[in-house]
Amino acid sequence: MNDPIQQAEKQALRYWYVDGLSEIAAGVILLIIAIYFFLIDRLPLPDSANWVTNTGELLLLGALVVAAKYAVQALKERITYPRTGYVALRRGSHTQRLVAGAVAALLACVFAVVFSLSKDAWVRHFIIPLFLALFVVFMGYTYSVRRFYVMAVYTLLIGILSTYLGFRTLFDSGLFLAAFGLGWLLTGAWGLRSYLGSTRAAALEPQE
Amino acid sequence: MNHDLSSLDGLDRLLHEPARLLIASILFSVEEADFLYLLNSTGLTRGNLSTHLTRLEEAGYVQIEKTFKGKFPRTICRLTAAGRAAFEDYRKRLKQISEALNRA
Repeated sequence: MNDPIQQAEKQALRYWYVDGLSEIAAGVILLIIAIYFFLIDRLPLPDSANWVTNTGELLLLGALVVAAKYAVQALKERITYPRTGYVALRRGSHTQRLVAGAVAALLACVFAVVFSLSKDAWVRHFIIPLFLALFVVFMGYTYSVRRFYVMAVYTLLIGILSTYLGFRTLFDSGLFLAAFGLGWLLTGAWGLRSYLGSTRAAALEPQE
Repeated sequence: MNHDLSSLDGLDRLLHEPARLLIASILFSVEEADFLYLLNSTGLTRGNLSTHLTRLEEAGYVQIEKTFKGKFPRTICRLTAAGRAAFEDYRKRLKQISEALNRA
C-alpha cells in the first residue's frame, strides 16, 4: 500500500517543477556562463590572469544562482500560485541535511577519483556529461517529471558529440554549456507551455 | 476485544473522516499550503474544503491565516503542533490495528 504521507510529499516536491520555471532559470544561468567563457576566450589575457577569470566565474555563478532564486519565486507568485496554489516544502531535519551533504561529498569524491584515474582523453571528456545525464535521470525519477528523461538523453547525446569532436578549449566548454543550457531552456519552455495550456488563473475567485 | 484492537476506541474521530484525513496528510507533509493548492490536491469542492478546514481549525489542529499577495487574497493553512501530534498519534494507532489484524 502506498503511504499517503510519502505520496503527498512527492506531490509537493513535483509541484516545484510543474511550471518549468526553474528549468528555464537553470538554462539562462548556463547560457550566461557560456557567454562568459566565450568572452574570456576572446580576450587577450595572460596566463597569470587565470585566477581572476576563475574567481570571476565563481562570483558570477553565485550571483546568478541567488538572482535566479528570487526571479523564480517572483514568477511563481505571478504565474503558478494564482493558478494552482502555493505550497511551501518542509525543511529537512539537521540529520537529513547532514546525510544529504555526506552523500553529495561521497559522490563528488567518486567522481574526482574516476576522473583523475582515467588515462584516456575520451573517458575524461565523456564522464562529465554521463554524470550529468545520470543526475537528470535521478531527478526525473525522484520528482516524477518525465521531460527530465528527454533532457537526460539530450545531455548524453551532446556528451557523445563533444567527445567525438574532441572538445578541449575554453571555447569548446562554452559550446557544451550553451548546448546544455539551451536544452534546459527548451524543456522548461515545454513545461511552461503545457502548464499554461492546462491551467487558468483562479486568483480573482474567492479563496474561501 | 484484543488489546491491540482496543486502539480503535482511541482513534481521533475528527481525523478519521476521509476528507479531513486527506487534508491533514497533505498539511503534515508540507510546511504550509494555500486553499487553492489544497483544493487541487484533494479534489474537494470549495464549500466542502472550507467546512472541513473550519472543523480542523476549531479543534486547534490547523492554523488558518488570511493574507493578501498584491491584490490577490490568499488563505494559508498549516498544521499546528497539536495537529501534528494528533495526526502522528492517529497513524500510530492505525498501524497497531493493522498489525493486530495481520496477526489474527
